[in-house]
Amino acid sequence: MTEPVLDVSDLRVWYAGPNGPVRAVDGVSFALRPGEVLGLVGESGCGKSTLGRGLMGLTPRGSAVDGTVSFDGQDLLSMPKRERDRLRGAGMGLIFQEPMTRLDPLMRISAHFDEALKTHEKNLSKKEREARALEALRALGIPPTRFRNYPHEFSGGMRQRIMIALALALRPKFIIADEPTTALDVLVEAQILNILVEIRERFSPAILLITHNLGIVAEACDRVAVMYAGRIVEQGPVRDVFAAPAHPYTQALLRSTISLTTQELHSIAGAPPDLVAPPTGCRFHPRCPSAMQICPQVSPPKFGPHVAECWLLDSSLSESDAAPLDKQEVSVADEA
Amino acid sequence: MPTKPDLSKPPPATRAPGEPIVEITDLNVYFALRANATARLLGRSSGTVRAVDGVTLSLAPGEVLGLVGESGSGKSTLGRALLGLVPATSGSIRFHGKELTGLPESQLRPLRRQLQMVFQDPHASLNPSMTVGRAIGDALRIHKMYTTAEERRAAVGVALERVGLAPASRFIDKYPAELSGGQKQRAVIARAIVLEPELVVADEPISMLDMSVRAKILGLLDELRRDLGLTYVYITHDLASARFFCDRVAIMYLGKIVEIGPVGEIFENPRHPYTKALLGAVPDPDPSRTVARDLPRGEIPDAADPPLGCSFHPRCPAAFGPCGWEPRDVRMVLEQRWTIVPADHYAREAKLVHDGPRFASENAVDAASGSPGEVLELLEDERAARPADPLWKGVAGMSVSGRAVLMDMKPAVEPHLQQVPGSDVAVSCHLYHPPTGSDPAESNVAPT
Repeated sequence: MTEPVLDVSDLRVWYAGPNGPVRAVDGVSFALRPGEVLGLVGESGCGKSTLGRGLMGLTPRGSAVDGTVSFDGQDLLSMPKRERDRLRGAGMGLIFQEPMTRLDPLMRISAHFDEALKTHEKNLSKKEREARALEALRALGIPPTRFRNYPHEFSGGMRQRIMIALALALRPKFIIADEPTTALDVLVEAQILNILVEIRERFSPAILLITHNLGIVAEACDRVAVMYAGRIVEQGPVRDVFAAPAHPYTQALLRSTISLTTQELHSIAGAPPDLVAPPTGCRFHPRCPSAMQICPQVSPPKFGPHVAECWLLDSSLSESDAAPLDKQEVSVADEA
Repeated sequence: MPTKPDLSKPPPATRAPGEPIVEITDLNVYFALRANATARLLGRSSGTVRAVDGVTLSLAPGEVLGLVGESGSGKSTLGRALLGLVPATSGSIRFHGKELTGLPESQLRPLRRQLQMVFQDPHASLNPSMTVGRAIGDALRIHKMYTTAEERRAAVGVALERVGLAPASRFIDKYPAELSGGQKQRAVIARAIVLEPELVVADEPISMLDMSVRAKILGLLDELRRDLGLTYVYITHDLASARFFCDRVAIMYLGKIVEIGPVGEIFENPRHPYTKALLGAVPDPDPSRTVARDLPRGEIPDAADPPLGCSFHPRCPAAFGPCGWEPRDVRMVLEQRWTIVPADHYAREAKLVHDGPRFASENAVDAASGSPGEVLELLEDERAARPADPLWKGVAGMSVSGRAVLMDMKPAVEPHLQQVPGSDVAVSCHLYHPPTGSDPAESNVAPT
């Protein structure tokens, strides 16, 4: 087994809200090996994007980050800010959701590449920089004839490919892709997914793919982490988790996805909780169809085979702990 | 035996069963492109975009018709034209036999009580400074449906509870900012149904919502259809929800319907190569499905300058002789080549030809710095490298002529929407209705 590129343990990202600290990421651990793609899924407001930002050190002012993030053997959270800034881009790339708002409309594509490469690889000559940029663009199917065009001259799908090429030109070991296909059409989305597969074969970076689309996870990821209310509630190989989801939240997410084989609509009652004061015990218990007496009292530990935090997986619960929990009816009033 | 199709009559698949409530015939919606100031002063236009191009279809009461396509396919424009929100350039839209095109706003407005719309973005379709009750009540006031404010408020309450915002007293005095995305979309739906419409055009009603809420809103729309006997036009790029929700589906590409038919048949036996591509591209949450994706190359073309013949031909894996090949399509093939060949080859080859619109004329590829002989050599080399490329099925010959390489293209024939014999589906593709003198067996992909 190769050493992980990224090893995150007990990461917490809290930020200031009007009603107290928002525990957007609250004790998250995972590891990523070179060439591995980890899908991070969950509803909006579960802390997915905050986790990505926290890893990059891009959290807003007034936020606190705790835990350890070991990247290539160095602890990112304890290193000085300047050193960390240097790693961002060169060591870790970030691909955003809206490519139009991330490219400077007044800069040619060539200038974007030139700037990024100049900042991070000072000893490259102008010629080498251009060669590196063209190589990255070609890998993503952008014809070299378009190198000196402006962002507005490209379609949405091409702009997203340019964003990916920009990240790749620096040859990062780790890339966070935050909803990279959400604003795109089906065919363009499929193109980007194919490209992610090719990138892995060619450059083998570790990728954290943040998405709310379980179909994309199934097609593009090796492992999946399901996030709910600031915690990863289930984590494991995609095939295993999707074939036999252990956590009721994962089961509910899979059931509520509308796919080409959907015969009947299912949904998850209620909405993700307020992260200022998340529910006690297991955070999913107010929405969980199989909640037990123990669930609101004690946070569940991790159970195997692929890891899930749910008391249902504990076969040694006492009868009173395993008794069903009386719950209030969830109405549309609490819907997301 | 290919016979000459009768194009005067629309294919039966475009017609709804029974007495239609809406009939659209040969509808065109064109938008003039804004030229720069000098051109406008001189009265020059810089072209038109055919957003909806010759669409014929009808809607039966109680049915859900899906308009499916990517951005720029014209599906939203068609939906808006149906409500008179964009003027039709030509053609006819009849609602219960009454012609809607050309009606002044004053006569359209009373009709809109029966024709309602639900927009994509619930955050943008509610006025942030109006309470939910006022936003919904306003629709009633404008259409003078109740006389007193109390009656209106009672009707608003009923509509709110109908869409699941119950008890209504909890929601009626709330501002949009106090509601979640799903609740806002419910309020927007309440505003549409409070007028007791017959037809609702729902333009991507669930695509801005969180995954877990989509099923709820789609379920609500389905319930309303059953309970209130609504007819829907469901506009979407999400094929999975279209399959679940629609009775008939029309697949659109660049302003035209390329395939239309009952939802089961379209999804189980897609015929048009574009429909096949769309269906193959939908990510599936079942990881045991490992289908290699063959995606159409390139991008949606510029709608102001659409390809000749079938609009999909430059991207189509099954395109052959009559599909509409032009010299400018050669550029796409060369650009593809340049992402594959070594960088120094590209540097040499790219200089031989022009960039952009000067690349090709109507019948030739022009030489730039190189001699036309070198350009011909480049094209022959590309043909030898990838002889199966659909482009070459449209090239009858290439020869040097003056400063250019003359491209002898097979004649382009524009496909029309025609019924596939023995089915309820109509498709606009030469594979199924080959023009005289062409042979679909030439195609890389056999028709199904």
